[in-house]
Amino acid sequence: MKSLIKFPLLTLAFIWLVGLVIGIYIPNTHPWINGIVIAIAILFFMVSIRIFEKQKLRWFVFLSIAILLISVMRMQIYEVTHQSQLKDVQALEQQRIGIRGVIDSKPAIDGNQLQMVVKPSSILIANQEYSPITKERFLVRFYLQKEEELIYIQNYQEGSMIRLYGILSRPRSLNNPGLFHYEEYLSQQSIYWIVRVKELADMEVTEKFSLDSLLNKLHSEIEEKIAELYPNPYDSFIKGILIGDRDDLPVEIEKDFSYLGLSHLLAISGLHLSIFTLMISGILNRLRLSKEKIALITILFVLFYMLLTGASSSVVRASLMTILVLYGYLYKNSFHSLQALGLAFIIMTTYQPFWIFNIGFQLSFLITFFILWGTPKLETFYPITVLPWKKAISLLIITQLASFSLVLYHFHQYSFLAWLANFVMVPIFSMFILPIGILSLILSFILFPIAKLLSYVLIQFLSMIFSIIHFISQTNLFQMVGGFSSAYNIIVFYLILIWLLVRKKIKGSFIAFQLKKKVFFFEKLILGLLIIFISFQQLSSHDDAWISLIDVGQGDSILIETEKGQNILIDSGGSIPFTREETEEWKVSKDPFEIGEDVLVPYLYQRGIKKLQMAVLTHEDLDHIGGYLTLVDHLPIESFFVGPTFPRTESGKVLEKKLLEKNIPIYSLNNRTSLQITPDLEVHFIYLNESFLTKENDQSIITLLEAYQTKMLMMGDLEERGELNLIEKYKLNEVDILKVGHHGSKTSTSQPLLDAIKPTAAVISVGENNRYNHPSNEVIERLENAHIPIYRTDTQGAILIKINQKGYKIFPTNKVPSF
Amino acid sequence: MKSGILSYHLKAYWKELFFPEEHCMICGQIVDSSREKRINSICCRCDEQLETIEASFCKRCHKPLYKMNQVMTEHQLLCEDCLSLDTPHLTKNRSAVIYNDFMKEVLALYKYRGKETLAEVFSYLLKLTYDAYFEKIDILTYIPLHPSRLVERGFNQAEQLAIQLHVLIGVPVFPIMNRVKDTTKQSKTTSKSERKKQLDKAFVVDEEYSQLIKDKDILIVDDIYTTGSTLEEAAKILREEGAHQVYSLTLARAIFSRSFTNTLRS
Repeated sequence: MKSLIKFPLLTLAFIWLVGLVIGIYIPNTHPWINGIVIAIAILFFMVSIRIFEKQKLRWFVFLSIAILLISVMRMQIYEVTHQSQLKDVQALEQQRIGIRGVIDSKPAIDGNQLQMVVKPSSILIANQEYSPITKERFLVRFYLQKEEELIYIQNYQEGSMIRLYGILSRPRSLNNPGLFHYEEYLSQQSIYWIVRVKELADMEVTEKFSLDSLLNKLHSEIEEKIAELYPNPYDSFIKGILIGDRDDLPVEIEKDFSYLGLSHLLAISGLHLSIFTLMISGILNRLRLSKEKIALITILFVLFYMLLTGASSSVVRASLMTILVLYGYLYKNSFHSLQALGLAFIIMTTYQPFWIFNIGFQLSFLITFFILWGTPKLETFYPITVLPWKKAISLLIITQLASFSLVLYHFHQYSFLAWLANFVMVPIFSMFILPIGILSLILSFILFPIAKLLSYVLIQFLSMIFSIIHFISQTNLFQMVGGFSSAYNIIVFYLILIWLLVRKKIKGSFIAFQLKKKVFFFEKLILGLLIIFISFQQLSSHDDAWISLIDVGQGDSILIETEKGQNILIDSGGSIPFTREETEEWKVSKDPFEIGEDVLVPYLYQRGIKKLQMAVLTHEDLDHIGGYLTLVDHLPIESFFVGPTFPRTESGKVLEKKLLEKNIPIYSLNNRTSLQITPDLEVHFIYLNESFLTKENDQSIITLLEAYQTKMLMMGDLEERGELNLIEKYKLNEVDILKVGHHGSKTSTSQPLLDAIKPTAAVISVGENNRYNHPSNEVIERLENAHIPIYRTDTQGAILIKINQKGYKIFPTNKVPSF
Repeated sequence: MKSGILSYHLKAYWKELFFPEEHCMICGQIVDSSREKRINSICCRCDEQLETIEASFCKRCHKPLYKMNQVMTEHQLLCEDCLSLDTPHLTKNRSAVIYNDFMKEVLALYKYRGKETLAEVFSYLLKLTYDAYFEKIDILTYIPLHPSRLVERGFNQAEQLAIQLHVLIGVPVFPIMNRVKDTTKQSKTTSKSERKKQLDKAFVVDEEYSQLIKDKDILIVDDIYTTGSTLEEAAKILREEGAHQVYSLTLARAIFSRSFTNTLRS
């Protein structure tokens, strides 16, 4: 118990976090209830002070309760003040809006798209002016038409006042379980509406904010210097590690680094800041300044640097901790770094509670916590006595253990090469790359030729490092995918990790043997329960087949996972480019959104799939083939199935070339092909080879899945004539689930089909607000008249279907079981 | 006046919350928690002065090698005192620390001032030693005091140590022996044989426990190991009553043995 108040602020930070999470789940109450709760909290706080006595714990219990209540209230109040004031979604969609406000983020230009966050000071809708009552912000988007417009945009800076007119729309995002959810991501930043500005003339910067513009000026001056010293890919790397601006970094480098778990080196993190502060205090020490002065100057520098780099959550954390520790130094009290960590957490989440959802924030705090708290405990496990080795190895083990599960949860893959990469790269980075980078930048203001020489050395070195990292990351060795699909798993993982670290200490500690006995009995009990739970889970689910209608927007992509672990993907979604002709180079986005790479691969990884046994392409429409074009680069495919006419479009030919390059066998399907995948699961592919079916859509491959006693018919984009032919020719019996053809278009899903197969559930894969107005009302009516329940990806996200002996069960995304 | 107390109180509260400090359980000074120590809640200086007996020592009585005027070889693992015993009843003794000046002071603090935190430190030291050298002990017991001495002193510190060790390690503790002979203080006797004579039949095993100790491994807890004659006598009685092995664990080990004083004289 005593150890809980060894670092009181750290314990309070945990309690604070619990309170914030509780605050999210508790429905918002009336303001006066909030008032009463806060009054109670203050009362508890005062009681805690009143009964304070160093030897006893009671005061801390009261303080903890007070803190818990306040944190719950903090979240409640935050939720009240951070919601959209524009509530009437139906009426406001596509409305014209005028906004006067401050640019609240660094304007980001990607290709011809400008994106920035604007904090309004007044809103104009339908000639009526409103002043904001909540802290809502708007995401402003503008597509540049001419390259010259880039020059105007360059004047837009964070902190500037702006006036603009645009069209309101709700942020939309694909909704797949466990995958990045853009809408949620925006709402965590208090953004609920996107404003699309049509013309540059609709935007005007009215006034520049002084402090920010001063920093901006310095920022751009440093940027210029760096650009003078370093050629293209290297300048953005150096910019990234020195002033936190890596917008221009090539996507390949970023992906290579992230694959090897080295992303933290690209962004400014606690590591960078600690190196900076070490350098500063080292120099000041040489100048023989007093310790107080050194501390004070370092504090000022840290504050300045934090603002200069744009105050990302990990920099704020590191800065706050440094300042707190130095503050303790100033007042001759030692502020323990774990105490500083706890206080920094409380301060940051008081200011911005939703930071707890930010990946950078989570990683930063978790890793720092485990480094500071866990390393001494970890070191008792192995008998290395050589100090530098011991430190380096403990640091490596603890950071990888701490980040592993969170990385898997957010990115769905983790490479064990990260251990090696970090072990080698972190010292190289902190002892060579970063110091040389800083030195060359400082010298460039004084002695340019020497700076140039230094930069030359660094460039040679970096190019070597980049190519080595690229080579290693291409091997895809030791990659782990899936796991940690829910937050509960993560919490269990970290609790187990903490317990393992603290276990040995408890075993050797000087607590009464009876208490110790209880503790270890409890450990065995929980371990037993966990084993029972997991084995029960495994036993009950090991003969489930899963089918996912992945939400790919407008398009089809269906994943079949058999109970024996084979995976079949039917179609891959894909977007239809509106204006493919716009190939002007400046308009091309740095990392355009690709269904295959950005949705399918993460989804497959998230389901623990590293390899597809079969991939099927029903026909060559872009909303079916699109994703495969990038998917094949990331995931091995054992066999590829197409119709007899493949390839007949341009993208079909591109795909064929890629498949051949990768030595993936292509099988052509004709008439009826039946494949017994497992004893309980059979797949029939049907291709209607009729000369009168001339429409592209009617040449879709139809899939009939028979798993246990459940039948599912997937229609591809088959239309009415094809459907009639299908019924006649193959005498289909009744099926249980119908994947409605052609995204619910009125040309498909005819009454004769429904009469023939009599489905008990219908699923539709369709994009929200698509331009074809799929699914059509007629089809919906037809299904409703037959009393068939409808599940659709546009409103419910990905649809998952579980099939076993007992039958089938359908889960929309928000109802997918988390364990 | 009142506000002065309040501000002091608030200051203490603030300090405990933001800059919590641990105070050494022995000397009361602030503990540097970043340094590695055997016991966490004592300061480095005290930790240094608590000399444990490590490396070479007599395998029976835990007498440290470097304090002896004689070189021991690997085969000869017993000190000369232990070698001179014909049939030792006490299988082995282990002591937590050396009875040096610092320990003398600390023990005096405990005995005469009754500083409670010291009892905690002692029990930690005993547990560390117990974990390092003993396993499979069935019963804990302690050297009893004569009833008249108990009245005089108020408490038996050996009993307290044994009970506290029991709380930490869980081995049961029983008052197996009674003291029937009031011996003079150890320091007042000079010759070893005289003391031996004095101690003869000084203890008896309580009838209540005579059945319990049959074939059991017993650990006797005491505060100081001086010549070992008290513990040897107690062990003898226990062995006669049927105990399997008798060990002893003492808090401190005095090292002014006869041979050492002899060398000083010569």
